[in-house]
Amino acid sequence: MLVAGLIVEPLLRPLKMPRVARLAVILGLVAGALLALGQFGPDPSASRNWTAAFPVVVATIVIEQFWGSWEQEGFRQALVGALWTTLAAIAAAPLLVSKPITWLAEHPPIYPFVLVAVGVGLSVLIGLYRGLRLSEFIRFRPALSKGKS
Amino acid sequence: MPTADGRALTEILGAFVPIGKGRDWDEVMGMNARTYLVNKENPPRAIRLVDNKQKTKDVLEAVGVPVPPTIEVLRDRRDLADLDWDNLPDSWELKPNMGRQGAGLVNIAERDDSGDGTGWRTGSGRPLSRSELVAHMRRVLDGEFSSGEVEQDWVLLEKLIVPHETLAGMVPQGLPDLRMICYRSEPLLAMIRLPTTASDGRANLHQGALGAAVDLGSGKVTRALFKGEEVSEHPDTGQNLIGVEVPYWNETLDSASRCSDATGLGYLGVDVVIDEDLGPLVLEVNARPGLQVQNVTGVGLATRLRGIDGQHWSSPV
Repeated sequence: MLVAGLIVEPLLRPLKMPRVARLAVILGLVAGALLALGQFGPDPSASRNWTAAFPVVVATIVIEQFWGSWEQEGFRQALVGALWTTLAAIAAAPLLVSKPITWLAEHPPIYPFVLVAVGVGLSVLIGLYRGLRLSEFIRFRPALSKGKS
Repeated sequence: MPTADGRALTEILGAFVPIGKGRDWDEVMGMNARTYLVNKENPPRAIRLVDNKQKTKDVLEAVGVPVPPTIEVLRDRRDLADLDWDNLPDSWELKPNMGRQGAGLVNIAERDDSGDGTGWRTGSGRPLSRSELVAHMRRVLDGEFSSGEVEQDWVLLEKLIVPHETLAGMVPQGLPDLRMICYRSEPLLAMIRLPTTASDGRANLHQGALGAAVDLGSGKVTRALFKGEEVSEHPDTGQNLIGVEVPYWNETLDSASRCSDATGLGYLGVDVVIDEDLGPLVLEVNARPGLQVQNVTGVGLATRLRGIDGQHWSSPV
């Protein structure tokens, strides 16, 4: 997985994608590698174990980002960001251990690989989009006034 | 695939939600376009350079751009142990060399003669003993306030900036600064960031500072934005903002326009302070400048970029 990630990362660089889109592509590839490990590797349960790492990864990111955010944007913003991240993770966690998802992980015919390939392709396409994000239609409303400087 | 300027998206969305239908969203540059521009125009070597304040000062000084005078650079604990405290000026500023967003910064305004006579007072009047300062400097050296994965950093001691009276009179406390967004040597937009009581004296818009648009031609404030609302006066001091002329405007523009060639960045944010004695000083060069300047000025960066070199953000990838 590490090798796959290390090979792909520099290949994505010329596309000049945002960090989140690059992460999505790498995440898709890592998920594909885990599926392959589950199907073709010596231990079929390996693909299931990754869900156990989910809370650890989220907790680590929240802790790491919290201090930086507090310093740069203030305590309130940091707290709001941490709370939303935690809520999103709590909402996503049942999905990851839900029966359809674990069934997909445990019974991978060829189509999960197709799914991963489509996901990676979509992530690249979305990463190449240079227009405004949905939240920016709210954020940049004051920028559209006609006052010139 | 949606068009790169989001026009198709706004047309579709406009039919369903009140996003400002009929407005020209094509003018605005979002994070996606900025990331593309940063990756295209700013080589990693140049980004690493501007993350290092002292090295940035060196290259800027080499091309005649004024920067805050350095008093001392402490590169390790040995330098800290050898620091001659008695020969420091009465006021100075402590900065982590690789620090970001003001983290780890300490303003020393005067010596504190009380106690054993070796202490200092910060700009807000808080007493700091020498041992407290040494402890803080050790944390800076250990990279505690530094950006990225820095394990060690330097302590910079610089002249304390005294803001020009025109700008100092606008704010209750803190150091106002100018943010200029440049594409290569061409300034695109400019704003002054004015600290407020809400921002606790910091010139950070996210923390509640006020942003005031500056006209590039005249150097005069044309509009001001506080907490998303247009204002004409500073909320704490009541000072009128509109029409105020930034001192040393031509020198400020000249300094900002020389930062691109000096650092190697093609798209950059230049932070300038106007010192009472020394005039405009480039405080920092930013390789990933924020986009809030568009809200403050009411002008989209995409419009300005197209005006410079015909760069068209709606062109397909």
